[in-house]
Formats: sequence, C-alpha cells, structure tokens
Amino acid sequence: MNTLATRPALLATDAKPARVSRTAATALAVALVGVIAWFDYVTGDFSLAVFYLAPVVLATWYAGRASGWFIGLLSAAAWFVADQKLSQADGEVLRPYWNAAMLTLTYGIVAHLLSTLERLQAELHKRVERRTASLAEVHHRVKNNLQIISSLLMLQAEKLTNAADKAVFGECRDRIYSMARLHEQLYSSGDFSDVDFAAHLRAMAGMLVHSHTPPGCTLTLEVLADPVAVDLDTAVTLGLIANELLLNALKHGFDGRSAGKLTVELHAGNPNQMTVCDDGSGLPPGFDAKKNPGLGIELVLGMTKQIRGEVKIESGPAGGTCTTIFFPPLSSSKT
Amino acid sequence: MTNARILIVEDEAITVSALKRELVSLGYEIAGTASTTDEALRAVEIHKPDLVLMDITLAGGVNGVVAAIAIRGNFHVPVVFLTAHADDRTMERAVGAGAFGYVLKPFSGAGLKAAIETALHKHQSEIESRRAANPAS
Repeated sequence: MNTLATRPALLATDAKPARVSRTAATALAVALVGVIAWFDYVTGDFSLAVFYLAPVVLATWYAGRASGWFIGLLSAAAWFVADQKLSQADGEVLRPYWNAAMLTLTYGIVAHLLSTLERLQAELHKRVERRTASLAEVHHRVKNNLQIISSLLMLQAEKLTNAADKAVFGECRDRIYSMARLHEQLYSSGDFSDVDFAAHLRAMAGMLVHSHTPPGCTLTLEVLADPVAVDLDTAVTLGLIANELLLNALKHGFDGRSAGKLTVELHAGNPNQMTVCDDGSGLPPGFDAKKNPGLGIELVLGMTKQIRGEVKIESGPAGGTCTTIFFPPLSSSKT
Repeated sequence: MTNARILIVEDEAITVSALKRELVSLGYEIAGTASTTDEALRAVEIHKPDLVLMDITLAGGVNGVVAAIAIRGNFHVPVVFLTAHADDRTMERAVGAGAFGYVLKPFSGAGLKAAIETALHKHQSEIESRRAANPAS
C-alpha cells in the first residue's frame, strides 16, 4: 500500500551546505594576512613566506581567482614591508623588491592553479549530475515500457478461455514485476551500480506467496536472507531465477495439501547461495533436471550459467524439494 | 468502497485499457478517461468522479501535479498518482499537490485496490472531520 502520509521525510528540502560567502572569505583572508604580517614584522629574519599561502588558498577557493591574486599581492606587500626593515640593517636595498616580485609571482601561480582545480571540480560535478539525471530518465522509461508490456499481456490474456493459458500470461507478468521492482529499488537507492538482493528477494517471495498460494492450502513462508550486494545484470537474472523457483514450488509443491512451508534463504559467501525449499510432494523418482527439463527448469539452468553459477536440486530434509543456486560474489562477478 | 467511480488520466492508451479492465474486475466503475490535464479538468467537472487516478507525468506542457492541485482545489476530489518511480523529489511534488496516495508502475490489482481504498477512506474521514468542526456547512 502506497500512501503519501507514510513518507513525511519527503517534505524535507535538500539541505545543501551553506557556502562561505565571497566577501566573508576575502575579509577573513585579509585579516589572516594582517596577523601573519604582524608576526613577520615582529620576528624579523624568521621567514613566514609559506604561511601567507593559507590566506591565498582560502581566498582563491571560496572567493575566486581575482580575490586570490589580490590576497597574493597583499601578502607580498606585507612581506615587503617586513623585509625592508631587515634589508636596511643588512644594506641590501634591492633584495626586498626582488623577494616581493618572486612572492607575487608564486602566490599568483598558486591562486591560478587552485582556481583552475576548483573550476574543473565544479564542471565534473555538473557532468556527474547530468549523467545521473539521464540515467534516472532511462530507468523511468524502462519502467514505463515494462508497464506497457504488462498491460499488453493482460489485454491479450483476456482473449483466452483456457485457465492454463491465462496462467502462462500471468507468470509472464510476474517476471515483469520482478524486473520492475529491481529498477525501483535501484532508482530509490540512488546507487545505480549495485543492489541489495535480500530486500528484493523478501518482497518478491511475499508477493508471489500472496498471489499464488494454492486454494485451500495454508502456507508458511520463511525468508532468511543476509544482505548480498549484486550488480544490476546479476540482480535481474537472479530475480528471474528466484521467480521461477518460487512459482515452481507454489504450482507443484503443495498439490492437494492443506498446509505447507516454503523456505527461502540467501547467504553471503564465496560463492553466495540462494536456496528455495518446500516441504511438498518432492522430486519424481529418477528425476534428472538436465535430461528432461520443463521450461522453468530449463530457464533456471540457462540463467544460472549466465551468472557463472551452479544449480543443485535435491530432496529436502523434511521431504519436498530444495534448489540451491551458487553464484559468485560481486567483485568476481564483475571481472 | 467498491462501486466508486474513478476517472483515469493517463496518456498511454495501452495502459488505459489495462487499467479500465483491472478497475472493473476490482468492482469499480469507470467515470471516464482523459489523456491531458485540460481533458482531466473538464472530465472531473462533467462526470464528478469519486476519485481520480492520474499519471504524474503526462504528455504536454502541464504535468499531473499541477492538474491534481486544480482538481483538489476546485472539485475536492481525491487524487491517486500513477508513477514509474517513488523517488523523493516526485513524492515531494505529489505531497505538495495534496495527493492521497500513489501506485507504482507496473501496477498490480492488489496495489491498485489498496491505494484506492486508502485514498477514499482518507477523503471520507476528511469530510467527516470538516463537518464535525463546522456543523453549519
């Protein structure tokens, strides 16, 4: 159920960190120059040239290149005054002029490089924002298209009279929901690189059990899922595998039973493991998935191979069927 | 509140057809359909639906949020948004427009019913509390 009242945090506006105003930054830099200049004058021949870099950097970063140059010039002038006092004692009249010119040049270069870096950083930030917006638009379009496909399947299914044929269309819609939910999860998290599959698996299992529990059967669902991060490609494929396994258990595992239990597990490791177990009617004698697979099993085998995983189908500890998918963790699945 | 009359505002024709069938199968009545905000406002005035189910991003200049504000303000009809994504910015706009809920695309029958029933219930509660606060009206 989606009600807007349950999302009060949404009303909060984006709180951006307050930027130091240009004037305040320049004023602070001037004050810093004043303090350093006073120490410079008092300490005499102890060089404080490097300390002037602090106000230059401050002014450039927060108030721009021109301000940085201005503070650089001011710093060189302050240095010049202190240096002149020393040079009069030493008798080297030209030295303060030379030093002041070199410092002006140095501080100017620092301000220029720093402002260029700041501009490049801002451009990069804007580019990332544009790319993120484009990616969000693509995800939006994908979900709209999934809606259209789901609608078409629904409309086509109406023309069918056979319940089994209609169920096939319903299963196709379930697969589409599975993919759509992953896109929603990715979009909501804002991180388009990977997704926590546990959340997706929990939601999917709940929804499928809610909509496909056999009539007259009271089914207990147990989901034991560790957080497992997977990339989008793996998540879509793994989601479809889970969809097949759950539907298969719901369709065939509890025929003619009044109660049953469905267990879904997801464990992180190397490899990760996803298991779907039912306590239902179990595997037919002599069952071999590779020799005689139905469409569901064929899809599971093919998709597991696609994510470089392995399938193990066996009888469950309490009867029924357990299918385990072993798949590589995120770091190795990307290689 | 089954038999509620619902106006569908959606610009994807296929989605409209699927919505109509799903809503009818859930026991609702279709008050009408519209594909633009102008059509939606006219349809609300003419058909007086119990609820408007509206795509949040409609083709054309004015989006569903603006239309929802007009519908809520002028006709006091609850609006439930259909949206591809429930991201914070979209929901912030929806809350600002006075929406009563949202349904994510692709929609399911259960999701539609839950959102519609909740919206109708909230709307009814609002009316009753307004009456209680001002019995003369």
